[in-house]
Amino acid sequence: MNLLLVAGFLGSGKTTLIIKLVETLGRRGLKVAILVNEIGQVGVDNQLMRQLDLNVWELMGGCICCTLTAGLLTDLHRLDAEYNPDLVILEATGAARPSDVLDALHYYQGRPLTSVSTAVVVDPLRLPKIVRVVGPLIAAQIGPADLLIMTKTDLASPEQTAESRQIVRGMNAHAPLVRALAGRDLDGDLLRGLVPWLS
Amino acid sequence: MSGRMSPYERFEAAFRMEPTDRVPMAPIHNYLVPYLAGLTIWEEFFQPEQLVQALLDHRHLIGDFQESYVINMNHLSLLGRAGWDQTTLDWRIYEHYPPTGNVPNLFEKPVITDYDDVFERGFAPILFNRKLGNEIWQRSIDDFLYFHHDYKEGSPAPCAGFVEQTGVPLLKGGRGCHPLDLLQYYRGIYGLTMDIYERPQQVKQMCEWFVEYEALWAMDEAMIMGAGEVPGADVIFFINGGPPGMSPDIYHEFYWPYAKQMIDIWVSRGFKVWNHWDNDHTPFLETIKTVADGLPAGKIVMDFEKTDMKKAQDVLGGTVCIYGNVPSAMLVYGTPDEVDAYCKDLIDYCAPGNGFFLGGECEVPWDSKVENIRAMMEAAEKYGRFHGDLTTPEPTGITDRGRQLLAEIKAGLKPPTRQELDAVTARWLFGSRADLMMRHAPWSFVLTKLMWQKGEEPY
Repeated sequence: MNLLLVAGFLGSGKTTLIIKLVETLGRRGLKVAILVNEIGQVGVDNQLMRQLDLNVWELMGGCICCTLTAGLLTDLHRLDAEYNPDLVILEATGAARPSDVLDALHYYQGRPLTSVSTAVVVDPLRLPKIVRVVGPLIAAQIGPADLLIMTKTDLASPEQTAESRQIVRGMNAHAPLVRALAGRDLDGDLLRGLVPWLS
Repeated sequence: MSGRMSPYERFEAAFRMEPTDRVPMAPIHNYLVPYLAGLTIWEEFFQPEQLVQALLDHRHLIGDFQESYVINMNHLSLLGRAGWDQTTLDWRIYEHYPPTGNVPNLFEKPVITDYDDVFERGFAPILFNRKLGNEIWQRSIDDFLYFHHDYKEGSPAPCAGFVEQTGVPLLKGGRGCHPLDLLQYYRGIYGLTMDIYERPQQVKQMCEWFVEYEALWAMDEAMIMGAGEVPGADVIFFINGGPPGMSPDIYHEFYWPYAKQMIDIWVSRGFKVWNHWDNDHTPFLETIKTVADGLPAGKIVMDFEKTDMKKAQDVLGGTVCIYGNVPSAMLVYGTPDEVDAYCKDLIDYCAPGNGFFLGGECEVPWDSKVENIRAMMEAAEKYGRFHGDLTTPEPTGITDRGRQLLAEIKAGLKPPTRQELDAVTARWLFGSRADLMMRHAPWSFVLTKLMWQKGEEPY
């Protein structure tokens, strides 16, 4: 079982990306589960995903700040025991720090995870404004990412894209930075970045 | 100090950063004890007698103070804080343990779309208008009536009875939220983030509204719960969630000033403040240290979720009391040995100078291992014994010293007057039309309800 944590600020395009990824992997016959703990209107993303016949497991728990990590482990153990997927995608809340989520894996007691990686989605249309207000949160998301994905680059001006790229690179100089175009399927670089273990 | 302190004596001494017989500790039980007792969430919040019986049956898990559940729901009566709290807004999701469904912390559907309209007409058109399309609002009036009248009349007595029997004080009597927390509920995290960038003056103006409203109503709640008569009821639980990971200049401009204003109001009126700070505030500890500026000592606890407790002790030790922070995941998935080691480390570093409470990050999760909670409690006994003859049994009930403390507290309280409460509530509900509406208040309320039933705005 591989674990992919998808993080990024609210509205950055995480859900869209995940749906495309699951559809792509589903066509290849892989079993994928999605753990969702979005901040948003109740179940909107879940319902959308369910309409697409995706396998969505909702994270249980109370207040995100208090019990998310415990709920995450409960569901990971359940997935491991009952579903045994090839990939679990955890969509973190837009206000989550990946390290808080991944720290909880210390207590994971299921079969060993084959891989754990973090992809962070950024929206160049709004990133500069968001960084001005919640810069440390964005840095905590982008900094430890294994893969950086810039969405909506076909909607952003070259200047916006360049400014966001500079911000992102200031926080994480090493992770691959790939683009995801609105309304397009995942291209080869992006897919390989998200699931490098896929042959 | 010659023998065992009672839990209340220990609670008060820790607040005042005075020596205690042992380090005070309490896991905050919002959910674990009701779960162990077999209560549903509904029973937990709507049947106070059942809840109190569950607490009495699980006294061995409670520690040195206990959450006063009533206020978690009672604040729903206050409209402004109605609904948009994760517990109250959709608590029905939680109706049975284990909780099922996706329980969001916040709803990203903006309730306020036009700040100026709120300043002009207040929140009444929003709160009593089901055009919002959220079925939650359909119960607004019913919830208002129930929690504003029936529940708050029925719940303080069982809570006070629990305190009287056990001598365990309440964690709080009233509850207030930081204005940015409230704005998060009304605008969503994303909306508020963009507002701070794009319309900072309106955000500040709204925060100024909330400061007074929240501060006064929290004190009224505390009085209802028996501040000055029931141990712990004079404490205001101050919730500081706020946008996580704020930039330092935003924190200093939009967050800290309003937090300090509210704490000043409460402490200057004789109340104590239990500050619950979600997220990691380690970068702001030097700022937080100024919380006590201009205030009498011994009135403030800083309860940290993710903040580094050792750094907090380094900076805040001797200034204010701190509480924290055994990780929730450890309580659910760790072992008693891990909990023991974690607690020992915290106690060794933070407790010797007085002013430290051992506790969890927030409330302990409903599915915490009981043996881990016991390990936490035993750690306080093993590693946190400091003064006096601890071979004597702990007093139960409220001691003479406890009653003396209560009398001192009661003499110093300056609760809000009816006129003050009416004024802030009217402004909150009716904005610039508050004076007009208040002259016809009974009819305003009836009209509001009637219009709500029609699904129309009240005026």
